[in-house]
Amino acid sequence: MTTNSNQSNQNANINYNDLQSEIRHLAKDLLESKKVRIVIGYGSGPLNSKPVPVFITDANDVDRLVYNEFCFNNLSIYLTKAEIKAKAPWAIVVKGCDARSVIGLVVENQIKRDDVFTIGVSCNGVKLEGNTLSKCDTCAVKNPSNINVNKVIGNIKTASSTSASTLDKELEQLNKMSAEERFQFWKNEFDRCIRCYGCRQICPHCFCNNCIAEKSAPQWISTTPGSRGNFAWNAIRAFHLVGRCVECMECSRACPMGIRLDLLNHYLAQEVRDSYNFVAGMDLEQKPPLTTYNLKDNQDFIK
Amino acid sequence: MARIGVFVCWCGENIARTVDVVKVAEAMKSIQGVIVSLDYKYMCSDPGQKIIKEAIVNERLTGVVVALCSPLMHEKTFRTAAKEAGLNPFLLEVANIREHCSWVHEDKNEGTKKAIEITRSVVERVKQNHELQNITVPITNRALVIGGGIAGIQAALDIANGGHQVVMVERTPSIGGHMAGLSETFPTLDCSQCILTPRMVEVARHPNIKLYTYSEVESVHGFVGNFKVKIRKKARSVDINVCTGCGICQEKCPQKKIPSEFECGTGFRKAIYIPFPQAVPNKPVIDREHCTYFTKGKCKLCEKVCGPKAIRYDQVDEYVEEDVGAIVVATGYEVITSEKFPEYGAGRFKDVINGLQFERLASASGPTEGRIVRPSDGKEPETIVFIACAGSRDPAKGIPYCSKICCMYTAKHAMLYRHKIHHGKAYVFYMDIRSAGKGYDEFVRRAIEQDGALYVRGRVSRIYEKTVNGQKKLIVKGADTILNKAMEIEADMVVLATAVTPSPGAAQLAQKVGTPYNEYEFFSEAHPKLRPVESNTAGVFLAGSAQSPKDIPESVSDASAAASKVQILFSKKELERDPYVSVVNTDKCFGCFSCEAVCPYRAITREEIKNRKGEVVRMVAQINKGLCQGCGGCISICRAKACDLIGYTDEQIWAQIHSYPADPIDPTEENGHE
Amino acid sequence: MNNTTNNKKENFEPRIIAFVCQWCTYTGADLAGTSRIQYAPNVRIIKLPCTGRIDVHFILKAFEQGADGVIVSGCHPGDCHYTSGNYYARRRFEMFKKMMGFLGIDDKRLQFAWVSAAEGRKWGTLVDEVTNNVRALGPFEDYKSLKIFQAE
Repeated sequence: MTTNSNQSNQNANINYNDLQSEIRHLAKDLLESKKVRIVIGYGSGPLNSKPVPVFITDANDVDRLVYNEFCFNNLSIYLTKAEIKAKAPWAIVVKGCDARSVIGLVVENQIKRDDVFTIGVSCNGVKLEGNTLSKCDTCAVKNPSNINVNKVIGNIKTASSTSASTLDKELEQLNKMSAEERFQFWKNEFDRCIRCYGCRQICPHCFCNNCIAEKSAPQWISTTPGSRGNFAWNAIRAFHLVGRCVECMECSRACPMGIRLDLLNHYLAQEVRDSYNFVAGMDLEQKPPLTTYNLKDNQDFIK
Repeated sequence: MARIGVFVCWCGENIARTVDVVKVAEAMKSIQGVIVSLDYKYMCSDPGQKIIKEAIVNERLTGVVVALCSPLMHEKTFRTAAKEAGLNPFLLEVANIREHCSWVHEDKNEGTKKAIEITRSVVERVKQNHELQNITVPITNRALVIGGGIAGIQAALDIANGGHQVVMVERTPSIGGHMAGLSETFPTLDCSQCILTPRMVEVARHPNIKLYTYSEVESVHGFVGNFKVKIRKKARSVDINVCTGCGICQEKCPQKKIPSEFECGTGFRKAIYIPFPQAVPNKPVIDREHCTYFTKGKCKLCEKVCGPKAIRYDQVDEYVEEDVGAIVVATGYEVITSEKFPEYGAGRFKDVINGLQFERLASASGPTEGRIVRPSDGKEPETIVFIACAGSRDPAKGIPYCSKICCMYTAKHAMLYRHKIHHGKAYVFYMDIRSAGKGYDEFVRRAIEQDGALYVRGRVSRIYEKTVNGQKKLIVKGADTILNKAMEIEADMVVLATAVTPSPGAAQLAQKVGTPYNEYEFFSEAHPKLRPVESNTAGVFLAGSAQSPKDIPESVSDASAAASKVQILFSKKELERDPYVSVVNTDKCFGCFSCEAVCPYRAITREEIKNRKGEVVRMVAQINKGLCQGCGGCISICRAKACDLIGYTDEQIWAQIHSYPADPIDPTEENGHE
Repeated sequence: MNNTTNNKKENFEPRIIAFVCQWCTYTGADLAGTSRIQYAPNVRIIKLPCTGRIDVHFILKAFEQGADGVIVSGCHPGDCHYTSGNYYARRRFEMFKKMMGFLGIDDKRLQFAWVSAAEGRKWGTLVDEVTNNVRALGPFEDYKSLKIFQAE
């Protein structure tokens, strides 16, 4: 899930103090001018390497906002929480990946675009426990200027990585396996699932208030943490995210059992991109791929 | 607690030969909730049905499974029987053990095993069934006809004569459509206007018809029996209630050189104009784009000369709403213009015209009063080349379909030309002659054999202008594929039978009405054979060329058929339909509206959930039972399973899948029992 | 032939569950019947209004229930009674099949097809083909090994 690359050197180019003070200034302006009622951002936690979400409502408190290379959380999850929802409009600090979540939420009518002011921070990868997250290898939105954000902060120029990402390499290996081996791989992964639903709780796009996993009459997914229910749950959750997942990979970060949800989501996101030329969370106008169709869609797999 | 009765049919030998029906009936008895299970030779016979009815009453059954032929065959029969016995018909289900079992498997052991499993799965399903009532929808007995061409006119008159009110919307200032501009009609050569104009007048005078000309459909909401239609009445700049139609304004208008739409550009009109003398309504309209007052700020000559003071320069577009129960789409066609043909001069050659323009030249009421002359110099053409397929059946032009009417009207054109200019030469280039229809082939033969039209099978590759002996000629280069030789004709005029396309804006209208259209933007019928004038949207019918190129007789019969469908719909006060519709559990819906995106019927609406203070807390999906056709697409896209399809609920399907044993009986072991 | 457990694979008869739409494939299967076309008896049909109604849950449930193969079949493109249900289904099933493949499910166990009301013959052939393919693969031990309880 994490990788030791040379990216930490590149991160040195970013002046986090500048980014942080810019965020604070902007937050102050937005609150003072009453353009927003809350600023959702990162604040310092007990550990410097683990910032915690903060919700600033008073312009005098903006110095509680921090920004550093450890700001890995996708804060957009809070936008759909009832307590926050009631206090629109908001401003939110987002990295490129998180900004895509915000777009996804707008597309699926969970929030109104006008209710949210996105402070898009340039990001060259975030670190968890000393290592840059593997999702950052494949990131195409390090500078969020090409996503619909209200304000871009920082301006990094990154050459797209030339070597295949760690995730892609792992995918390639999985795809080389026989079906049988792959099945065993995933069985081993899913068997560890304890059905804590942390993946779901942290996912900004798992916003159903009644999850299918808890539906009875009929119960499509066994709730017992056994192989059968675990397979169905993890498969269905991944499938529900087809064309919607923005690969923030918060689910695999949250998973206490280290299940490789990132691999599954990355695989599906790639298939969606290749099949339908669709990347989730990039465009307010584009319909999620499973809610539309093209007369010329592939049907090679259909007899 | 369920009390299920199972009735297994022998169907004589049809089922019993390869399925041990006694064993099937016996096996059902061990299922929880099955109170009675028996077999009978012919369940569909009167005694057979009586057995079921008696069991329903005597055993107080709450569900019935009949194991026999396909439900498409007898579901209705048995549901009616159940109803007669006092059981809600939707509590009876059919297990298909004939078409899907006894007829397709020879091995009696396998057949019996399969029949048992099929029947059991339906028993489990029935346990999840609920009493259902057919849905009734009230119907507004009033129709909207979109388009005032011959198809729209016919449909409107038929419906109106049937005693129902009709609202007709026509985009242009007058009804009549293309037919009003035609000279004479094939295959009888009767004058088009002579047969059409009485109909137009009838529409205008009919007490049941409300006519909106120079108006467009702005939006359509609702569903079969209950449409709400918003109509935009475009500003005519003339109060037609005051105007007497005297025509003095038209006479005095200084703007003289505006190409007339009605004359297809072969003649001119004024800025204030009545499109043609027989127009209905016979009232003028100001073309604001060309009017001196609207473009330059002064003139107002028409206002000055207007006796009854009907001119209204300040008129604005007006919106009206009409409630209707059915819609007939009769928006007709257009033809592509010669600009689309670079090989034929791309519209630069004045004497290369299209079929509709030729109609105006040949028409007694046309700009030349029926004299066929060259548009460039007004001289009589000595040689005319007609090109019968111009764009049609030409995938390179994006029109692979046949425009259907061109073969016939080209023969007519050649004929009319020869009747008027006896010494003239009429060449017709064609790909095939398609003249199927009553009296049609005879008509084409007449053109060739009696009227001397020179038919050349082949295509024209190029046309260019050249001065020959001081005369301007069109050099037509083509090929005669029968004689296998190149041809070059010095023509005075060329008439292209350009391809027929849907009226502009057809796709947008289809989207407003919510009915499908094909890749060329022709409206799609619900079934090409059996439901040719119905669209896939209940309550929306099609007539004429909006659907595909059609000639006048076809358009008229379409229109009468559509009118008949409308009257069938209007024959009842309420519409009854089966109860298979989707429902939303609004507690579970979280308003992502994926369902709305996939619904082919626009049956999903957005509803606000408010808190006690009246603030909108969230939005949820609601399903309009009138529009929903029960496909269930919304359910499989719904991640929360907030919706479900009545009649095919998740519970019913789950029960069916679940009924299949996880560890099937080994067939070889079952052999041992025999 | 009483000792069936030892050589289970040889005598293995696959269980196939088919989810079909009522307008095309169900009627096509009826036609196979009226035409007396013989095909493998391994299939169990569940009728739905449209392929658009066929949820991926049904397929997983079928496998959980011991199916060795699943058929999903409906109207050809352009023939959908509901205009577009099969187009949405086509996308959904493409992604689902890919995901299942990635999770290690042999793609022969999950067959999608278009069978029209006129294609009774095609229906029979389809069932035979899937049955043979799945028979060759053997029982779906992988999925059957997924027990409800961890301890099993």
